[in-house]
Amino acid sequence: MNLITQLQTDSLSATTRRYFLKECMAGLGAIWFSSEAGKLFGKSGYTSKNANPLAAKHPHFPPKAKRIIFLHMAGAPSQLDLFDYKPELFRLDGKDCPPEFLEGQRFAFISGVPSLLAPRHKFNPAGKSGQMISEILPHFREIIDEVCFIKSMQTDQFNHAPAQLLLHTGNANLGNASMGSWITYGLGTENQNLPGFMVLVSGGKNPSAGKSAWSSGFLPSVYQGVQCRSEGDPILYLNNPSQIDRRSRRQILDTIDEINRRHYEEVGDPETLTRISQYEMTYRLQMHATDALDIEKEPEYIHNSYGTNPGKESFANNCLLARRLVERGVRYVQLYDWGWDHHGNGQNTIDEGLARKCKEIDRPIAALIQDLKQRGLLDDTLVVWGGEFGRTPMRELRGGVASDTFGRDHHKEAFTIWMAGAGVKGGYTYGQTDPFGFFVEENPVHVRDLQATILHALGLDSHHLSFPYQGLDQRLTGVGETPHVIEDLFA
Amino acid sequence: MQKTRRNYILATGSASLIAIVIWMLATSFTQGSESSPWSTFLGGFHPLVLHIPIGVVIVIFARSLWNLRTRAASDNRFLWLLAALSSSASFASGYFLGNEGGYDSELLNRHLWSAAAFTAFAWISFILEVLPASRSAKALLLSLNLVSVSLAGHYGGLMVHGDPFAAAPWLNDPQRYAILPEIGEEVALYQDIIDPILQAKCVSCHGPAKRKGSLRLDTYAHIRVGGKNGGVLTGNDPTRSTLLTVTKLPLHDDQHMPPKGKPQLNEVEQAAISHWIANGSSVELVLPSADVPSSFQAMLVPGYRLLPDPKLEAERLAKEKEKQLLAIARRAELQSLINERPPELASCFTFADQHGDTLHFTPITQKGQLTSDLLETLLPLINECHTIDLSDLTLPDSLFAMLAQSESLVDLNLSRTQLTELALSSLSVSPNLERLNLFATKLSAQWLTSAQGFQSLRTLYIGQNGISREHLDSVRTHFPNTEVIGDLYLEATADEDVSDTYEDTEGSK
Repeated sequence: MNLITQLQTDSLSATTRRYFLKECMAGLGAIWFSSEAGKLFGKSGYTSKNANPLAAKHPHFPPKAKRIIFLHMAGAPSQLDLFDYKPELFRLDGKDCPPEFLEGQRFAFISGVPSLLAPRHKFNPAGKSGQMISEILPHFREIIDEVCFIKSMQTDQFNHAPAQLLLHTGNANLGNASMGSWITYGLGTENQNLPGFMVLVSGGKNPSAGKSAWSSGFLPSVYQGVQCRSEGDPILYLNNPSQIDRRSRRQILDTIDEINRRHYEEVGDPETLTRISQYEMTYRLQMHATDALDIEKEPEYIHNSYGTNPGKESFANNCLLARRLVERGVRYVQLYDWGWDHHGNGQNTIDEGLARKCKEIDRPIAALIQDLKQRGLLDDTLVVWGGEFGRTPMRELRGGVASDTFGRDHHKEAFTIWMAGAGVKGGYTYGQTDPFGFFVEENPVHVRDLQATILHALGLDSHHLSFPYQGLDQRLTGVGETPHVIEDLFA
Repeated sequence: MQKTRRNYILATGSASLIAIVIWMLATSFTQGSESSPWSTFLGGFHPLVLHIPIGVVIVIFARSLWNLRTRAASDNRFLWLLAALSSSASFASGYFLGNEGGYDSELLNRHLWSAAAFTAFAWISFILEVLPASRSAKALLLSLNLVSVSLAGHYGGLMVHGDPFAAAPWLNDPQRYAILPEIGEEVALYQDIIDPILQAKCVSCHGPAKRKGSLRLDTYAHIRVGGKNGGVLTGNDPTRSTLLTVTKLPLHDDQHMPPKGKPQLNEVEQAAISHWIANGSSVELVLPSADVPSSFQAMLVPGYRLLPDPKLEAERLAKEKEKQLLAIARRAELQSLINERPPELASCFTFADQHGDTLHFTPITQKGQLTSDLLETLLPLINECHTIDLSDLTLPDSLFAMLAQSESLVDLNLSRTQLTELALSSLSVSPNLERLNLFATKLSAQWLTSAQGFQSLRTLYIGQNGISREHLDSVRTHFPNTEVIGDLYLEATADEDVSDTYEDTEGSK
């Protein structure tokens, strides 16, 4: 055998099956062993049963709420002109902000020494509780005794996208699972004919954090939020093409399911299960979603009370849709309304801009709460309203120059959110800010605490709601943090 | 004979060598104030190793006693070697552990010297055993060993586990701090309130006997000093002072104090501590009892209990346990009944949580399939439910007579159903029904005002039934203890609320 044939045999033997098997005997054995041994701990070996990932599951302890409607005012409304009344600011209106407030603080746009800004709208006492509330929310006054305020909210982020991500996914960075995904992962959903987590957007734009705010992150993608279109058909292509009837659609799906199921049994990728259940869901959606999402079926007086505008994009439509969805057992309905970033530039003023936005939401929100109550849904539906952070007690001083109109900058030290339903104390305020509304003075509530409290209302322990990813037990409220449940909010 | 003796001397020599090496390692490991990770690691074995020499010496003692009776000579050379070697190892590892700090220095010192004496006696005993020695010398050495090992064990135990005699029933009443002593016109916050709380709930682990985390909370000075993780009072800020914050952590948190299962601090006691910290956490703080904030006024009431009455507590626990067991049994029973049903019907029944026996009937997805015949077959199970959602369904009147008998039924949703007067009147005898939803039914207010019963009813929804304001008011007067909800959209009728088309006629599998 000469050198060349020797070389040829060597290179051939390196690629033959027999050689391969001989050489990696130990490795193959190890692979087999790890897959077998893994089963002992229940970690590997997905079950080949078609377990429905969205089937209703039992919460850790008896829940107060079964469903959630989260009304997010993207851009962060000014708590100081709506709910957190600070008469001290009238006295100091136009005066320089005391230096002890500015020390060590960073603002998104303010530089130099800004002046304090008094509330730009009148406040009046409302309801049996007599809480002060801005006059630009006239309808809200009627429901104030159903509402529980948290005036001591705090966050870590003062830019929109990271702050929205922190509020909705528990992390200011991309890639984490949103609260709606966590909750459908933990509890499944009651209505198998509709998605468990639905997202409705108004205000002309998606929130700054974009679709990541309702992403399923590292959780299986079946838990992702389903966004409805704001105008026209909420979900496209729900109708079958003209030559296809429902029976032949069923046959097509059965065949595809069978192929997917075989593939899953071979490969065991959970995303295949997601695909199967999405096809099934869409099939059922064809039947039921058209009906659930059709607000035109509502009687006239309902439309009047919400102030809806069928066919157009509007927050009022979304509120009515939200009610129709929770009525049908959708677990988590997320509303985003864009346009609350009132810096005082252009149209975005505290005077007209904020008043205009309030006018858009005031009647629908009051109608939603009353409508839920009327139907007996408010007892087990938690409604949460809020922005991603607050706004400064100072007038915005962008780049050291004040504009002609009035605005406020982003503020992470203190802001206000409210909740209603699910047994929260009506007409109650938790937490308190200092006389300027700059810092929290009593009972601070971090967004993590808010998340833990929302999970608690649903019967979930934020510590035990976890998912193994990248070697850590991931949680909505963080891997190492210890959030506090604010039990005081509930009666 | 010569050879064996040489072997023993060799063994002794090498064992001593090992002991010396360990000793030298110990000193070199702890040069300077920094302790090496090795000393931490080896020190961790002390609790394991220390029990071996104790056991061995007890065995030797037992053997000697036995031999005293039979007068036989015994060969204890191996056992003494084992005792000597293990006591050396125990001494070395204990030395490392002691250097880690966190122990009372006086107790540690006594433990160290009595252990050193024991190690020495063990080696001497071994050598005496190997060399020919008199019985009395051996007996003396054995008793010295017994005394020193007892002392070493006693001091060691005192350091780690505390003095068991401190909790002896004849010395000490665990309920000593159970009731707060009566407080006069003036409240000395620390002496009258804070100290009794700490005595009752913290000092058993953070006190003179047991000093977990080197923290003592039994005197004011010790509280100020803090423990090995630093001070427990930070500024005058209750939200940053660990004395308070650890009590507010979730119960499952490792840092939570008092540990799970021990009597916890309640909100009133936390408020008192918070107030004390916020006002300077001084030992001299005195305020008139009228000025005590309402958040912990409750503690001024004579007879305030810091610890629960042991007898009542035991009874309460027993009752709770009993209830839990019954719930588990009932849940299993119900679950097996549910499992007998086809899966799509079984999925209509869900428990409220992961452990209890509260059952819900919520057929949201199945509403299209639920005919009244099918409902009838599910009745035995539905009757076990706490919450029943029958909205949008066609219901036979006979169903209500059955439902009214159920003792489990608390929450019933009949919205958008064809409710009849007969159905409502049969329902009125339901014993525990608290919440009844009659939204958008063809209800007439007369049915309700003529109905007797509904003894437990708390909330009644009668919106969208075309009922006028006067009728609503008459229903309210008829049910004075019930919240009647229906003011919105008065005079709107049930027909206007379009019910869903739930029927899935074609193509279902």
